[in-house]
Amino acid sequence: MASSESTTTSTTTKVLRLKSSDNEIFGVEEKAALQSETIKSLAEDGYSEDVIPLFNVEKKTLAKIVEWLNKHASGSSKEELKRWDADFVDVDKDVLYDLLLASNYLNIEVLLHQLAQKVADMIKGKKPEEIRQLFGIKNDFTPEEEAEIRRENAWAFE
Amino acid sequence: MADDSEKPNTTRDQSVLATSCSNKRTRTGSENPSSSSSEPVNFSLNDLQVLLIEVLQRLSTTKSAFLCKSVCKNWYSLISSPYFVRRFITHHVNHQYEQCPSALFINYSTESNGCGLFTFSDEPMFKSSGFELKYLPERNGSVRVLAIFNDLILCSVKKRNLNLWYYICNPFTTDWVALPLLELDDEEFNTKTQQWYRSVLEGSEYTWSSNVVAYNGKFLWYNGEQIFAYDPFNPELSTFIDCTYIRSTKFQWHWTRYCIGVCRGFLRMMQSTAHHNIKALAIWELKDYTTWEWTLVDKVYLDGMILENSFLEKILDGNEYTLQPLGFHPNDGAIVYLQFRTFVISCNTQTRELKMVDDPPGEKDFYDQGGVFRIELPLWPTPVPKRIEVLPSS
Repeated sequence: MASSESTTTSTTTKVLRLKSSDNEIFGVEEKAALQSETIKSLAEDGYSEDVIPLFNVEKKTLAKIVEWLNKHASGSSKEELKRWDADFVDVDKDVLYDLLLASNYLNIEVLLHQLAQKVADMIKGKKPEEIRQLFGIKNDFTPEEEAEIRRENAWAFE
Repeated sequence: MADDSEKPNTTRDQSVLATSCSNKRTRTGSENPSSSSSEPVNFSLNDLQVLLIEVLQRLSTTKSAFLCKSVCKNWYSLISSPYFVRRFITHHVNHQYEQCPSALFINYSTESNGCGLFTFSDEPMFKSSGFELKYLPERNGSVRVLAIFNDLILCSVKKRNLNLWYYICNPFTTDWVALPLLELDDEEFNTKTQQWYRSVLEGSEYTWSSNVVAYNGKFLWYNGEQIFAYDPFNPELSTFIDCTYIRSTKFQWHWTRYCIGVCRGFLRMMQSTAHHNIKALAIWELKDYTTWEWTLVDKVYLDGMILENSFLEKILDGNEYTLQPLGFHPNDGAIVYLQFRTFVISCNTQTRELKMVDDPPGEKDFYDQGGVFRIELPLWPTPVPKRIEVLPSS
């Protein structure tokens, strides 16, 4: 397929094949895929003709990532992207967490920013107990320590 | 830890790469998970923690970051680290977040009750109790704000027995430190010797027709012809700042009131008049401290301005009152504060808008010239020194 020289004005689009940790292969246009710094460096290392293995990303997460990469390479308007992104990050926190890890591993700065901002916005306005509950964090302070920290930072609790 | 303040972007990329690699290792095999412990402390955190800093630096307010300190030990130590503070500040400088809370402090006096402090702010933390620095131990006296540096306030509290207590405090964190008790009210505090001492200047050139401001390590006031800059550390270096240019610039009015202050690091002077049905201001800025070159920032006729409401219209409808310049916005060069009758008004010279500052309008008699102080919470609160540090005299 690569041999068919384009007869129109459009340029040939190269497709990279990304393999998830559970061996699912996703074809993504190079332009979209290279938004990931990790894929970019793997492609530069000579993986591009072959399958690019992404050991840390499962297929359900990779499918979402590919969706994001394609959308962000589609030339959508800024306003449309903004709306689309807001929907994209509006997911369960488990999915959000997987996406966050994947965007970090794949080094997609813009996506990492959106996801981290989403989590930060979830923390906003919540009390420490609510934050612990939401993110499954264990309170490892003694009651005395916690009281002391609250006293030190009383202004933040008003 | 030592060099991670430089080039935050590069550092971040490295951290991401480091995570990618360690991530790969821990998932595929079982190599020593602490193999990266020789890296700076924040990079040796596990995968979640590297992402945790990405999340926590994006909290929209400093207040919520402080609140998150009490979630768990890990969050506490992360948010307390200088590295986090730098990341938080860098991120917030580069992205648009909510505006930092701010407040105006205005010193006032009444015929009957002595002096007091007004606080105006949209921030609930100020609105609740009038924010009268109530956490200070000698709060029952009259509180006056004397100076503001970033979010630190120097204030004095005068007790009935005339003793003056001075405090440096941060109204956001409510931290404070007391200066030694002063029994006479006209001395200076020397931070080197930790003692108060008295300076006496004799001569008509030292009388003042304006407020006194602290600027570049000197005390400045206008004597009607020049600004005297008194250097308390090296009195022989005290100088007069020439104002001939201001005085030789002819307006058709006779200026009656003067106020000096600092805006965006530059010394400013405001002149005002309210004679013959004309209420006007002129604002000057000293651009060059060595050549005494003053620039006219703006001249303003209050009569042509956009008024916030009809109440303001009513207030301004009168000629027998003095238009008193009160002070400058420290960062917004277009905004100055004025007193007309018993009301404080903010004047935006760019949008040509006049607004009431005290809402509801106060029934105070006098406001201090230069007694308007605007405080803004910086991206991270300034800690209050536990003792008064020695300052270099340069």
